[in-house]
Amino acid sequence: MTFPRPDDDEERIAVLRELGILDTGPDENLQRIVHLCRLIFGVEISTVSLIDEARQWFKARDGLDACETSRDVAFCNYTILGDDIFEVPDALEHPDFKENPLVTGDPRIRFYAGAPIRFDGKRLGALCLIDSSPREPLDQRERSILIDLAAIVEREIRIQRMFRESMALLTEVIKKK
Amino acid sequence: MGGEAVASQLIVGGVRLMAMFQQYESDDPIISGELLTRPDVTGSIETFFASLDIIDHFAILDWHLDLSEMLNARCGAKVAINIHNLLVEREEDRGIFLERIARHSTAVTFEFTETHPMPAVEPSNRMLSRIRESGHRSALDDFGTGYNGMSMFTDYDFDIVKFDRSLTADLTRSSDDLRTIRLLRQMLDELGKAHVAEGVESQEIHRILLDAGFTTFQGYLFHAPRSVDEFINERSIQR
Repeated sequence: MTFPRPDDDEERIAVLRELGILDTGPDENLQRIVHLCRLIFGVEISTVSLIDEARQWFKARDGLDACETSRDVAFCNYTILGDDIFEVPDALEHPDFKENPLVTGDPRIRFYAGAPIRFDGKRLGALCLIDSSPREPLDQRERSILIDLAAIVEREIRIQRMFRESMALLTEVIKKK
Repeated sequence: MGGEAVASQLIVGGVRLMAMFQQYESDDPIISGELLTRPDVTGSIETFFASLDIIDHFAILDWHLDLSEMLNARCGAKVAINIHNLLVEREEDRGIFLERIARHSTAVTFEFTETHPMPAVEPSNRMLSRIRESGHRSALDDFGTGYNGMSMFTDYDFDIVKFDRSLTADLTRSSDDLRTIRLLRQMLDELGKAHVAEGVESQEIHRILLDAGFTTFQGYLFHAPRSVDEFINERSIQR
C-alpha cells in the first residue's frame, strides 16, 4: 500500500533510533496509559505506536496481540504528518483506508483516532484509539483528554531517556575515582 | 531432557571444561545462581574462550541449556548462563541462538559478558526482545568494566544489570559513591530492571549495599562456585 511520508522522515527515524526505544521491554506506565485509554474512551484497542522505517512497532498495547505491523498499513502514518489529532470515524467510508488489510482483515478497524507523540521536535508515532465499530468523531472534551495522555506518554519517554543517560554518567563518575 | 543426568564435563577443542554453579544470595531470587565453566587450561580463561570457533560456542550453549534444565528439574534452580558475545556477533548465528533458546522450555537468564563487544544497538535490542518473548531473560554482566560502558545503560535493553565489584568494593557509609550507587539502583527500579551486586566479599559491603536497597548478591562471602554434581547431590539430600 502507498502511504504518505513526512518531509523530515529520514531525520525523524534517526531520532527514533537514537532514542533506543525500539524493541525494548514492556513499560508499566505506558501500559497503564493504554489501559486507561480503553477505559476512558471505551475502545477495543489502544496502542503507543512508533513509526520506524518499514514497520510500526508498539511500545505499549492493550487489546491487541501483534507487537508490530508493516509500516504501509499503519494509520499512524497520517497522524505523524501534523500536530493535531488524526481521526477516521469509519474506515470503510474512507478512500485511503477502506482497502487497508487492517480494515478488511483483523483487527477489522473501523474507528481510529491518534494523537502524535513527539521527541526532540520529531513526531515519532502516536497514541492510538482503535475500534471495530464506526464512531462519532471525538468531542472537545475527549480530544483534550487524548492530547493530555499523549503529552504524558511524551514526558515518560523523555524522563526514561534522561534516567538512562544519567545512570551511564553516574557510573562513569564512580569508575573514574 | 527434564531431570535426566547431564555430564558435568565437556571436551571442547581438546580441553576439558568443568561445569560449576555459584548460588546468589537473595530473599526473592530472580536467579538462584550462575553456571560457570572452568576450562582445564594453564593460561587465561578469556584467551581460551576467545580462541574457540562458533561450533564450539554452540556446543557449550547446548551443554549449558541441558545443565540448566537438570538443575531446575532436580533442585528448582533458576539458572543464569554466560553467553560469549562471539556467539551472537553475526546475524545468522543470532538466528540459530534464538531458535535454540525458543525450544528450551525452562526459563534461563542469559548473561552477556564484557570480554567482547556486543552487536550494534538495534540488532541487540531485537535479540533481547526475542529472548524475552521466549520466556527467558537477559543480564548485562560485569557492568562497569570492559566494553560494558555508557551506551550499555543508555541504549541496550537488558532485563537485569549486574554491578561489577569495581563499582562497590570501596564503598564506605558516608561516601558520595554510596549515594551514587543508591541512586543508580533506584533508577534501575524505576525502569523496571532488576539488579545483582557482584563480588560482595565483606560483611561491611554487604550491609552497606543492603541499606542502599540492593537485594541480590553474588560473592564468596555467601557461596563459592561448586561443581554442579556437588551442588545437586547436596540439594537432593536436603530435599
